[in-house]
Amino acid sequence: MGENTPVTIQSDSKMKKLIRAYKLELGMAVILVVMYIILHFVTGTALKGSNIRNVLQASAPLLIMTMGQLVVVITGGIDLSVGSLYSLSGMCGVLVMLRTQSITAGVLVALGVGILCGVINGVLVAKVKMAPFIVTLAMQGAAASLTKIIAGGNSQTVTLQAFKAFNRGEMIPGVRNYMVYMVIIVVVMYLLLRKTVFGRWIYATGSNEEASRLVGIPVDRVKIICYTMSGFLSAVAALLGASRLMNVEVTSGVGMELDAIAAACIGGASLSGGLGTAFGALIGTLLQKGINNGINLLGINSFWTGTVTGIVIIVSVYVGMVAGKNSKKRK
Amino acid sequence: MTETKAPILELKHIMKAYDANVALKDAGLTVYPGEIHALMGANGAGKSTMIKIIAGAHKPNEGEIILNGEAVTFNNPKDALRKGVAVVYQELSLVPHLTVSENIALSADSVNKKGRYDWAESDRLASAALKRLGRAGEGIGVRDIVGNLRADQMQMIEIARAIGQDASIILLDEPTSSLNFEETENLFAVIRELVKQDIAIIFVSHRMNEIREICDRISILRDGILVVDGRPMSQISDDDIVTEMLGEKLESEKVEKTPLEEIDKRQPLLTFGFEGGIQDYVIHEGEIIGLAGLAGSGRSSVLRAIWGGSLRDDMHFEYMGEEFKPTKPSKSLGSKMAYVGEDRAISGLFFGQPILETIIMGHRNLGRKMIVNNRHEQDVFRDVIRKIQIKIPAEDCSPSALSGGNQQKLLFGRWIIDDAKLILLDEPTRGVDVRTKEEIYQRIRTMAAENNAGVLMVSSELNELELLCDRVIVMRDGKGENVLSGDEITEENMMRYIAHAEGT
Repeated sequence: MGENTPVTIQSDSKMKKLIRAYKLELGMAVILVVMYIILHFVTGTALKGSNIRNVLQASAPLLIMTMGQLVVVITGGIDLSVGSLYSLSGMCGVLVMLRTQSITAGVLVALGVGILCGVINGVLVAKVKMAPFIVTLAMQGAAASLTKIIAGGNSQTVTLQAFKAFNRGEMIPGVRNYMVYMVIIVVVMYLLLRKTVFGRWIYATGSNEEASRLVGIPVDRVKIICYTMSGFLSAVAALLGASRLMNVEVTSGVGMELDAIAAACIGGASLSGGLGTAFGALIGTLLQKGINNGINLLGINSFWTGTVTGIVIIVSVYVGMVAGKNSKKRK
Repeated sequence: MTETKAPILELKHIMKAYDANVALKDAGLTVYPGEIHALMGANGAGKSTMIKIIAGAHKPNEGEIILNGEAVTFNNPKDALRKGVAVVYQELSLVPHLTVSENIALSADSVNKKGRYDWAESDRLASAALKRLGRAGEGIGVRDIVGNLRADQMQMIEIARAIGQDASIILLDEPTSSLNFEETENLFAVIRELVKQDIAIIFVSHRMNEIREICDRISILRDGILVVDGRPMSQISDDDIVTEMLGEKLESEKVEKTPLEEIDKRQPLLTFGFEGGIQDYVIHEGEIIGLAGLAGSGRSSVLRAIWGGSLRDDMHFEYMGEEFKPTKPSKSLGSKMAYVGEDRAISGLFFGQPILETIIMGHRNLGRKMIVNNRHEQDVFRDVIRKIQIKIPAEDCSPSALSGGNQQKLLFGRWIIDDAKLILLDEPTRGVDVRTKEEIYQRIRTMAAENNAGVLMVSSELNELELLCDRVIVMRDGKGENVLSGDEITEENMMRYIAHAEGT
């Protein structure tokens, strides 16, 4: 294998490349579909419209949160605060809504809280150079405690009936809003990650931060924006969740950060950075919520959910590692 | 001198294939105790496979390994080490946060006293092993933290660990690639000391002058075949070595340099100087200037300061006739500069991403566009790949699928898209084989001659500076010290000035 061999660039067809690039995600999608077909055979209800709608509705907030987590994970970071930010921004938003009787004010405050906390995370990670795990762990604790303080420990019921429309309304006749949001977030994130220069910066930063910096990428700004996006999307998720239940608990987001991290990783993101796709995060989210749903439908004790999800995480990440070895995606 | 002894290690007719890919066809090696044996080969000749087989990390498909006259198999690296064969890789396997003592003795059985770590025994083992390294090892204390040591001392710790476990054969894989001139000499002193104790050293390197300096005999692999089998160094010329490695004569172009008077008439491109420095230095269009000096003399930091990678407030610059204040890489990038960093894995390559990303990123950032133009990037990418003449397995593979030489060429490819005016190169040929070196030299000359770019390069390989540079600045304590130009640029001269610079 001398180096004087003539220059060859193998040009595979677009389809082939696409399949190679999304091998893991496609595999997960197949598993998801197969799982639902089997569930349908056993229960007879899994593929009914009402069940699918339920699962999608329950998935919407997690999907949005996972997309925020995804960008952070691709930079090589982690955001443990999203669950607590979900609680905090949702609670702030609803309290303001109740106090002012203005949905707009509530929404703006919720989004503002999410953005602010995201910026704090981002600045501490990017500028102060603290470990993302520590920064967002601290934010997690602080946000959870602040939620309880401002709410006095009580859950709040949303009395403004119009707020229901945020989740269940039909901007497009015949299509529920949460469906619209899900499509929008997946498409936007896909475009952001694949088609924009900023998206390529996110991957580059996660792949090799020093090399990124030295080739002129503003890595600090990239990271701050990613953490901010994560905070912002947690707030969006919280509003969607609040609108669905018309109620917020002080602990509504507890544990969601782990679901979001798991969803991103099931979909092929790597905690060492540089890997992950919007499509993968979508499949990861649906797979998790699908497992919940399956366990419900089968009438199995819901205590089993964590065990099954845990096994799915291990298996999918393992498969990703093995597949990565062959596709030369590895470091 | 060693011929009277029996060989300590013989590898015969080694064949090794990975799936359909034959890495070694008929490789071999015969090593005698107390000799320093060079193992050379171009990229892709099967050298790394050979190293892995000697280390016990891979098993050959065919062929035999004979150790002290007995046929053996190495089941794994630990097994090989137990039988006396140690390999010190380029990427050291030390635990930086632990002490020298622990790093040397950690895996010895005698320090494990029913689960308790026996520090006294550990220190004893470590100091005994260090003592065998001779004088160069004297500066190392057993309780020093390894992470605080110099690069050559870390190499020594690794070697000490090997001899602490009674290794009789030590393979050093490119041991000097991250060492400076002085550190290399220290390491060589250690190697000579070990040879006196009848330890056999297998020395893998691309650096001809080092092989010449320290090795007794040489074996060369080409395309998986042993083509030179332990020939004494005195019976082989540098040209022979290159010819044997490549299978043909390398047309090493001895290019006439442009006369200095000619260069001085051209537009000055960059002027730089140091606070309290003796003089300012000028790079003209088409001029190649080298920075020589010991590691830590500030060579790399000058490049990084111009590039904006890490700032130096004791330097001032004038670029294209105007005062220039570097702030960040994107500014320098936008000012038509280019930079290839010292360690490509850290400062250049995007592992895990398609090769295109590594090549295109500078061009993309220069474009200041929001949206990626896929078709344009593909075209540019293919054009670059064609120009830098590398073979890639697939368009979407990661740089990790390429050899070191090709990875380095990727980083040069990055800067031929938009003609840079000032090119900053930090150790541009580290760890690449002779042929790739020649190509890189050619590339550097082309950038200077055809694009009229100025080049500022740092290199520890003085022959490289002699070959390419119009002027060489010898650095010391972060500042420029002497300037050599024209015929003064010889290895001997540079060496003398560097040594002089060190002598204070």
